Amino acid sequence: MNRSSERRVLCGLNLVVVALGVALLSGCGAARATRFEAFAAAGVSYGQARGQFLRLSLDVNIERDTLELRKQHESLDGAGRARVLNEQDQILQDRISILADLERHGALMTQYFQALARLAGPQADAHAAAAAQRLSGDLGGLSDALARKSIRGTPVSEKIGQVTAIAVGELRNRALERHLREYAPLIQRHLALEEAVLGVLVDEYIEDRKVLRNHERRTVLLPPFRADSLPPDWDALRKRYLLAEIDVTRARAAQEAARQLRSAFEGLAGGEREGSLAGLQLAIDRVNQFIGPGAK
Amino acid sequence: MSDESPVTPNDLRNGLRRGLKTALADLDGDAFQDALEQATAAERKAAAITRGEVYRAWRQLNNVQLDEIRNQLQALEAELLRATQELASARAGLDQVAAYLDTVNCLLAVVKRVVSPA
Repeated sequence: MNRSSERRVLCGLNLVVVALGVALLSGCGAARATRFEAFAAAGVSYGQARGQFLRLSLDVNIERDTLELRKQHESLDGAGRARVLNEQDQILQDRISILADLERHGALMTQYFQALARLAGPQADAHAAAAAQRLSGDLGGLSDALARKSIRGTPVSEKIGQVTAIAVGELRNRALERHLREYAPLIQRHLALEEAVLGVLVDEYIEDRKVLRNHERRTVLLPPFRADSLPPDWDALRKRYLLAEIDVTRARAAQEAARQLRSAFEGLAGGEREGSLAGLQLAIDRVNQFIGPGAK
Repeated sequence: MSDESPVTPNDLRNGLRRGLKTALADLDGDAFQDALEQATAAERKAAAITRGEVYRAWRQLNNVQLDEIRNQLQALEAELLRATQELASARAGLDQVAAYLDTVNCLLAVVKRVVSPA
């Protein structure tokens, strides 16, 4: 490479540095991509917590359903028992089929969030920057003069790496904005339906748990208290019963997480550039706490 | 002309679901359960059968509601898949920048061997 070619290359690089430096100084693109990435990561966590909640809600549905069968059993004849068992089995089988479809759909949604996280994340910028740095190192190997050059005190190889990362970052930001323009209504609709699903399931879960707890109260707690002497473990039973109430109300966290996810996406689609997604992450953490070992 | 919006089938169903939920809560409440303990065997039997019917109706309405939402979600699936694929393509496009630079690197390595004395 002769000196005039080197000059042209360096001059071109300087122009790119200036143009992209201006884009970087605006700082908005990078911050927005970070929000996309955080949102997508929260979406993936939400998908996992939601899947566990769906399975937990089915467990409690079945327990309640079985209790309802027991309550009717004494009052029905053989034919009535068979009819009622068939009807309730069918209702639960319908529910299992719906939940299976919702789980499958949840997996598609998780794939979407994973793809969004991969695009919004900084890995692509870093790979391109590293490749560019290797390229400039090789250019330097071809020409001692180029190897010795620097742009505002920074070696050319390093500068090329930085510029490439910025350029790739800009491409990524444009891709994200284009994606939002095209798909924001779809994702918003989707998240609103998701919130509706969780609304029905959480309401039902709470009702089921209330009935199961009330049954426990009337069959385990009340009879010994009505009797003349209390068994020694009664105090502990009562405490366990009362504290279990906390878990019932915690189920609302699942619905809240779905609401926060929709609201966070609406913020992103509306061009929000600041503010944290802490509320969303907190809601997801609460769901995870709820579906932990103490949930039942 | 009334300003009120018309009641939709969905409104009716939601109202019915709420009504059934309240009825079940009442049937499960202390007042009803205490009264039931004093009732005759025939009354208890009738109450248990009615409770079962209310319970099944409530559960079925919840299934209908979930089924509707499921169908709406499924109708969006093809577009959701397309959105996911486009995100993956956009990411692949970014990766191509690094791949392109690496290809140039390889070519330069060859050039370097040719122009540099051994």
